[in-house]
Amino acid sequence: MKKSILMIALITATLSWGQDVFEKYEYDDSVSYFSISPKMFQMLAQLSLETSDPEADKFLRLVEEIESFKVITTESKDISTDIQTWVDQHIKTQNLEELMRVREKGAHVNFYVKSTKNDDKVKKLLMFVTDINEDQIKLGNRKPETVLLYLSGDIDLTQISKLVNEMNLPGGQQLGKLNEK
Amino acid sequence: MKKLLIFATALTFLGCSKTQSIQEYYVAKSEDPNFLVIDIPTSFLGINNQVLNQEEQAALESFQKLNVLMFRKTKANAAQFPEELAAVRQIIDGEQFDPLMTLSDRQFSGKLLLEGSIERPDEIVFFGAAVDQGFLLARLIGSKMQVEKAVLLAKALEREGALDNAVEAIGQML
Repeated sequence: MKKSILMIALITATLSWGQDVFEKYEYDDSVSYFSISPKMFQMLAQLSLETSDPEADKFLRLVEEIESFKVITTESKDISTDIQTWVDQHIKTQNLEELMRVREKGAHVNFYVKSTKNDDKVKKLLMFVTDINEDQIKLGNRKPETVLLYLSGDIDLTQISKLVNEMNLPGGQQLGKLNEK
Repeated sequence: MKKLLIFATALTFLGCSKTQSIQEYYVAKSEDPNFLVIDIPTSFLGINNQVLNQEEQAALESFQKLNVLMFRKTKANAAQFPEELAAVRQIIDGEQFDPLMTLSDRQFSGKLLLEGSIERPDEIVFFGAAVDQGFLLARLIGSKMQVEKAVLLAKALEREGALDNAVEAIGQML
């Protein structure tokens, strides 16, 4: 009997293993969630879109290097804690390094990366914003407590800050400072 | 041990219990007065095949029709809404489809999905739901759709004024 309980525990553990914190709260009311899957990026690359604007073309090329993009924001304290737990675990299991940490009165922003041999390129970028308490940081009509942004692919750090800026997310400015170093 | 075996069998059955397919859902709801179903074949674009070159023709033929299902939320059917929403989500979040893009908020949620391979999908599905308005499920159905030709096709359709034709045809139908 003990064995079967162990089996069930094991099965449940494997089942919940694949679920990440983004999908877990997809339909939660106190969460905003946005994601673009690897398949979408592959499809975009296939379309080989072109515009007449060189700036926009540059942006499209940048997008083609991305594999996966997810962002979750929440105003719930409980979910914030859960996201924190997931981030801590993810850093450990994926061997992410802390790229930079910004502590301002408005928010705490942490960047983690999976680096490559090339200094400007990373395989993964995690931007984790917590303790947001400034009035000017608003997304729509809600005031998020926590923001987690996840990017994977062949990411050029000097370019990616532009993308984050485009989306007007908290942390974009901080990421922009990376270019200046 | 026997108990365990029964449990395992039950689990297996649960795992592959067939959920309603998207097509079955469409058919079931086409009888429901709370739903509006529109079927738009590509022939509505009113394109004479002769004006297209071979490449454009092949691309157009790979897209067959657009199937739209709408649930308009009213005071009378508000109670039905969460139920239907859950039913559709269960279908589109199943293994048949791969999500392309997801947006989810308290007021609005939208999802773009695909069935088949990325190079040659057989179906592209869009599902959008607004808490106070209802939802819309749109399926672009084809066979091995030539996605990479979409831009080329769009240009050809624009050249031939296809969008105006389609709007007119749908207008007449309604």
